[in-house]
Amino acid sequence: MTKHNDSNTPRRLESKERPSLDVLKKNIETELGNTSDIRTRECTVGEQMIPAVLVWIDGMVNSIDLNSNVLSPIISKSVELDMSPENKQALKLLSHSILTATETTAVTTPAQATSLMVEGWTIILIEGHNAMVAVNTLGFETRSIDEPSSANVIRGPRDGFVESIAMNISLIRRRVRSKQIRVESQTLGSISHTKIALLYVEDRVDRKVLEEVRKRVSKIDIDAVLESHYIEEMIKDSPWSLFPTVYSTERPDDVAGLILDGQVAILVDGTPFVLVLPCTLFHLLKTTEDLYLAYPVATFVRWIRFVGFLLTLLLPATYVGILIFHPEMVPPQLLSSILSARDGVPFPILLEALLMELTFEGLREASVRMPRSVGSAISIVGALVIGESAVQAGIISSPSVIIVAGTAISSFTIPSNSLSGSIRILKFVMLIFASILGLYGIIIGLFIVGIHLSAIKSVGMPYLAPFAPFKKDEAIRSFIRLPWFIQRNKR
Amino acid sequence: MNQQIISNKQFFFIVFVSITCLSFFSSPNQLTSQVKQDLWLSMIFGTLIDIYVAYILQSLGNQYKGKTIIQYTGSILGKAAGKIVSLCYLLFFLIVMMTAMWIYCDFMSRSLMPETPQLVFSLTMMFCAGMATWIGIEAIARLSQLIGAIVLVASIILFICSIADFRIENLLPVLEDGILPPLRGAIYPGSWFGICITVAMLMPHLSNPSKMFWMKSKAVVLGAFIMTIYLMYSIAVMGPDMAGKFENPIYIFSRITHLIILDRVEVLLLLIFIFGSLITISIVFFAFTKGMQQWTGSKSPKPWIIIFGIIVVFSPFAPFSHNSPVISSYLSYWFPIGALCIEGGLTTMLFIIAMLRRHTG
Amino acid sequence: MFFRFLKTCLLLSVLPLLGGCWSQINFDQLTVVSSLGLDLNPDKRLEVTIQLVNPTLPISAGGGNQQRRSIATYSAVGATVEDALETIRQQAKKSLFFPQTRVVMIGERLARKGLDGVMDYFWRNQYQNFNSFVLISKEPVRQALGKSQELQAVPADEWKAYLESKYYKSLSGAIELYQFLPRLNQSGYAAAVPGLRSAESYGANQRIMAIEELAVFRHERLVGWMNSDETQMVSWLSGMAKSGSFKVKIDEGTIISFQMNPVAVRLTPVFDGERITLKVKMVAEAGIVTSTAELNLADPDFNRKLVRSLTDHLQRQTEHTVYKLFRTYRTDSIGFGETIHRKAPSKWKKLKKDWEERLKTIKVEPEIKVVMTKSGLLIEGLITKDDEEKK
Repeated sequence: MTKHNDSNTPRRLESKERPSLDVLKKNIETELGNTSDIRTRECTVGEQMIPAVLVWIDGMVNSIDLNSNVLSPIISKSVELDMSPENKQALKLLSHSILTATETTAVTTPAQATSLMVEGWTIILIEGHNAMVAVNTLGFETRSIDEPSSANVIRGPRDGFVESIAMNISLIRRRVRSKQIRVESQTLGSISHTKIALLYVEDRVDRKVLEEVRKRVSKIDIDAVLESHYIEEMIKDSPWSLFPTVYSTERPDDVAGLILDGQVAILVDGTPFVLVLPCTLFHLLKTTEDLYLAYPVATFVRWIRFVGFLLTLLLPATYVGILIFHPEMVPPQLLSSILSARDGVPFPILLEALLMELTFEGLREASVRMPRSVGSAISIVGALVIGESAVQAGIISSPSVIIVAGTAISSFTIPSNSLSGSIRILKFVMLIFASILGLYGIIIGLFIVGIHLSAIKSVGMPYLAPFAPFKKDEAIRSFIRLPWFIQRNKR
Repeated sequence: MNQQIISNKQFFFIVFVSITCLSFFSSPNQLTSQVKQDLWLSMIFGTLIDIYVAYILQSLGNQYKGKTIIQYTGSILGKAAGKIVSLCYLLFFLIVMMTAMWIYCDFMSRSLMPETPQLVFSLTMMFCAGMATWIGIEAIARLSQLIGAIVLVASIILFICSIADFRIENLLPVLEDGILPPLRGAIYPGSWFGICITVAMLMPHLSNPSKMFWMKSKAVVLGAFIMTIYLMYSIAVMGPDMAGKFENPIYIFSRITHLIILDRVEVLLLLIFIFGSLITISIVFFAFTKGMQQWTGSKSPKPWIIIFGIIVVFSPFAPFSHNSPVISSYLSYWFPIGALCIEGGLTTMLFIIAMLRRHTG
Repeated sequence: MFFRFLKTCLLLSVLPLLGGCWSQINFDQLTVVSSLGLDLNPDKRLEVTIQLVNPTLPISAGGGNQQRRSIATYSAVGATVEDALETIRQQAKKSLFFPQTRVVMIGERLARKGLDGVMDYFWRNQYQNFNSFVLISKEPVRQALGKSQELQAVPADEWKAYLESKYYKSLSGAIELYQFLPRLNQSGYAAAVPGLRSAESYGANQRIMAIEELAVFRHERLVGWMNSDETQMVSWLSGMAKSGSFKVKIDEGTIISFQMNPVAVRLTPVFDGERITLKVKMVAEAGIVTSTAELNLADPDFNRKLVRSLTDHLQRQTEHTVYKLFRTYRTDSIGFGETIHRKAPSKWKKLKKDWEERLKTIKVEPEIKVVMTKSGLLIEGLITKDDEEKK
């Protein structure tokens, strides 16, 4: 920094009179630390054939754009322009009537210029001119819109968000073509300068929620935002809580529906995951697809999800709790077959359940990270080794395999990945409680979870809303997917 | 601490859960053995007593808006007398908590998990209640709404499933020994229902305090109704003689009932009521610590939560706690009488003095 | 900060407490007790026999080929039930699991001596199953439990299934423990328990047990047996069963079996000074199941005769049963005392004291109404012979 100042200040002062092109170029290059991905293109402008140079960072600009909107107008159309340094209007004229790019601006210092360059702008330097023209030629390769891998649908739109914020906003705007949509952009991250945008529908949004979200976003102090989860954790209500209080989705139709409900979406550049606030437990158990299916089917599926949620949390714990504390609750025939299946199994019930659950979690993690082709191999090994051989060898009893499989299936019914994760952790906690105090322990655990759930909020909305506090209409709507002809006005 | 608000519906469920869960564990024993078939009459009388108390609390609460009973006794009786009377209330809350805790622990260790030391129950329960109180009344209220619905649904399912074993003859004859035993028996439900004078502590938190009386009456009637059905069912299924012999006839009744393929549903029923009891204890504890905070004028109720939490944990080891004659005379005589004196007597006195004050001053 | 410290201390103090796992059951040592038997051994001491189930895989899961004994019986003598069970625990070396006991079997010898002092165990012990059925064994319990063979591997399962069935209820007079226990101390409604004995005619090496007859208790003592027809009548009169079969002899050689469903019975006490009359009002619907001779149901006279003789038979049977109970055994197994208690509580208070003595003086007045409903697939007769032969 000091070296930079020492070497450049005298030359800059000198160039204030008549900056030579080389000096200008040099200034920018040193500002960027002589990084090697700077590209330049020399040419001449104006009647006087004044040498000029275009500077940009490789890969950040769209070369077609650069060619047709910047380079070719300068070369072909600037011949009649008076570009002499004495002409104060020269640069203005250049950007107003020659360049056909969508956005241009004038910058005066190399620092300003470089900060635009890292965002994909091209800088035009002209000999003798102190000011520079910056042209927006942003354009880099992006992934094309395709089906989100985190949420598949049977019926419903198949497009998913991509990594570009502008594209994502457009995906939402395509669905809700209303002038009421508001986008509030800002930049976060002292190094990464990530663009984020708040998106909401002006006449439906809950003002208090919007104010709260704005306040929380403005308070974020972070150096880099690489994914929306960074923001999620910073604006979450109870940071220590296991439960997600921010909804994240990859699907534009989901976001469109939610902002129509009056919620606020936060889009982050560089990730296809969009955050939506507020988010309650029942939001996490709903899916957008519910709205695309016939209402009886959707209601049924939703109930299965509720049951799946509870089973994931309680099934292994209840199994252990009942067997080692209250075996009298098991119907006689069932008890007899469990007893005979456990004959000769070396592990106690708790250890067996814990082992199997951990194995399952391991398998799950392994298959998520593996490439698709290896994934199937893992599932074969898992099914064969654990499901078949362990039981055959008498190491694990078959009822506990059934329990673990049931828990696994239930956990897959939870649509939200983050919720399913926290429930799977709590499952182990419940298992421990059950092993110490049996069903009474489970009740104690449920009480603690229940009190926690009733206490936490998501930007002012109670997490268990609309059931506690109970709001009749909304509760019915969360419990049953009402057909469209009954819910008249709003979503 | 900013003011937490509970809605009327939540308040309804708080009262409902407190009543059903407290009387599930406490009063069946004395009621079925002493009053038998006529206990519904005792229940009605008990409910009437409680509605009367609710009425008084409502009118007192209207007169001193935004104040708890601990605060307005001072305004009614003057500073010194107010302190003494409100201390009576606080002590009453504490005694109720300890008695309830003792009953729970005793019952759990008798029936559900005999080998487990009672301290474990009191410790876990108190931990939960303390945590709930720490978090605040709003969360307790929300949770009670959920558990209230579960209690209601579970009870209805149980009633429907055991209708086959129901022998209505067992409920006859009506008023075998005249009206006196049920009247005398009314002190048990009356005293335990009356625990809802904790609502006098919750009133400032209500979103609509003027509806308190109406909500509370509804909840008490519903709760008493459910409990009456439970007790009547257990008598009708087992016969009055057998029902009167057990520590908790409802527990035995649920043991006899089959639920589809489950032969033994009593554990599930018990668990639901234990969950409700946790809420009940939390509410009484909240009322108590809040009152303690106001009485001493300290800033936060939190130190009281810890101090009295530890004290209540040891309630199973209170003196005489394993001395059956003392326990039975305490539970069947001293506690109900004392509770009625405080709920009915002291509150009525407050009401009359407040009336006189308003008319003279 | 201080509170956080306190809280931490509190939490830490919980931890060692929670290390206990007190009420845990060693699940793998668990052995279900399928039936519990009480009897007197020849030395007149209390002998407890239990039948343990050796868990086997259900046949549908391939458990049919398992080569293991499915039950095992142990018995021991002790001063109390618990005392004897202690001894059994030493022999069986398993943790005995009572909550799913199917049958509690009491030996006749013990029942005749009286059950006082024995049944307290079932009231008090929280592991006992109030839904288990009670049976009185005519032979020593030890033999009955040890040697019985049924189609199912565990005999008690079979007995339970039979006793549970609604269809056989009137014949068996099944009673569950929670009904049995209070009736031992009740004078207004005495206990009556189905009996169990090995059926003869199968030879010595094949022990088929029959659940038949009804043991009648006066307070805690067994006083006598009722045969099958009487058992059915007791079940009807006490309201425990609402159906059953009944056979009537009309003429010489004509015996008709009826299926009665439903049978509604109402007992009404009539007081006439010191005299008490038991009015039995029975309304039944009857259908013919089979007959040994041709019946001409189209004939109204015959029909009337049929109904009359059925009514007569029922009336006689009612009187016979009630008098046998009230006069011979001096016990109230149909719950007449409780009926008085309900209908005239003030009178019952006076009667209660010497109810057993008074039973002898009670007069029975049956009032029976039978409606013929079904007559099977045939309408008119038994078998219509060839037309020519008829002529």
